[in-house]
Amino acid sequence: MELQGKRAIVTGGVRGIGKEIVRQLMEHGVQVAVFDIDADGLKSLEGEITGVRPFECDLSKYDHVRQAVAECFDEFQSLDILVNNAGILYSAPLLSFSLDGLKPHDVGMWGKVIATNLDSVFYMTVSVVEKMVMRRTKGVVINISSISAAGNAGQSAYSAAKAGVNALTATWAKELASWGIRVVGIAPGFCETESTHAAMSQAALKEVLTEAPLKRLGSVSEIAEGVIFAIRNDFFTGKTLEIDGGLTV
Amino acid sequence: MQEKLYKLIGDILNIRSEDISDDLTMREIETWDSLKHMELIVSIEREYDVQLTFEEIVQMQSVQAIKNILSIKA
Repeated sequence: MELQGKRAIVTGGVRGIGKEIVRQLMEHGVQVAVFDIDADGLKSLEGEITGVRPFECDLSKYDHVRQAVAECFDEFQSLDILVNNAGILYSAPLLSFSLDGLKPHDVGMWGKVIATNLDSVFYMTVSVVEKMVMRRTKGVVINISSISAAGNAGQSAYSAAKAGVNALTATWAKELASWGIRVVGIAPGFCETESTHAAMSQAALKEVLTEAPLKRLGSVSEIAEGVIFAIRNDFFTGKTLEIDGGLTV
Repeated sequence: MQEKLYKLIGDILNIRSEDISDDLTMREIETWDSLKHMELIVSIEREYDVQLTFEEIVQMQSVQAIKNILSIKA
């Protein structure tokens, strides 16, 4: 797919990997709408990146997503690329010890992580792909997953959500190929972002990095470059590409 | 056109050409589901060198409907 002149939605594009994806897409001449729950973040983004189109949206709520997608389509008239990047990182073991004894994983947080990381992907994709199909647009859906999809101790909800995202990538690639729509996953390893540092202690990060062949955190730019590759390559569908400094080798 | 179309439909839906008629509809054939319908559409587009609109794809739920649309487009 040639990027120049295309139209894209990036979810969770206000910070981190999402923001860099927005920036690189726009550098390649793509018109970008950003869907995010953070209204202040969207305002800042508009000030930083000229031409980005912000849509405030709680991606964990289906009716919000339908409304925002409809508004975006009214404006853009067509859509070629969807990047499902929005998500929250949360780390907690299934059971942890506290002074009061065993403490189970917070059920509310389980639901929130699943809703933000998995439900949102479903809600966005079904809403956007419906528009692509009706216009017979040969589009591409990029699902930002994680190497945690393979199971990461201390990340029940996050790992489960990302494993679900990988399954959706494979399922939709098979279902949508006839419509000319590709579906690809990108699974970052540990990256230099606010959310990584918020979710993991320095000690835990240090331990992880000693295992990684490249022994460093990835940059958001390196992940966004993977997204650009996946969008461009018309023979790439159904798979999730791990960009992790060799950690999972 | 009929023989070629019947063969194409038969190959995709795994039914014999002799069992295909213009009256055949998607509802009557178990194998003719949404996924198979798209396979059929892609084959028709390739074989007859046409680009179908979404509305035409939705209409093509019987052999007769397919023939009607192809007679205009192909």
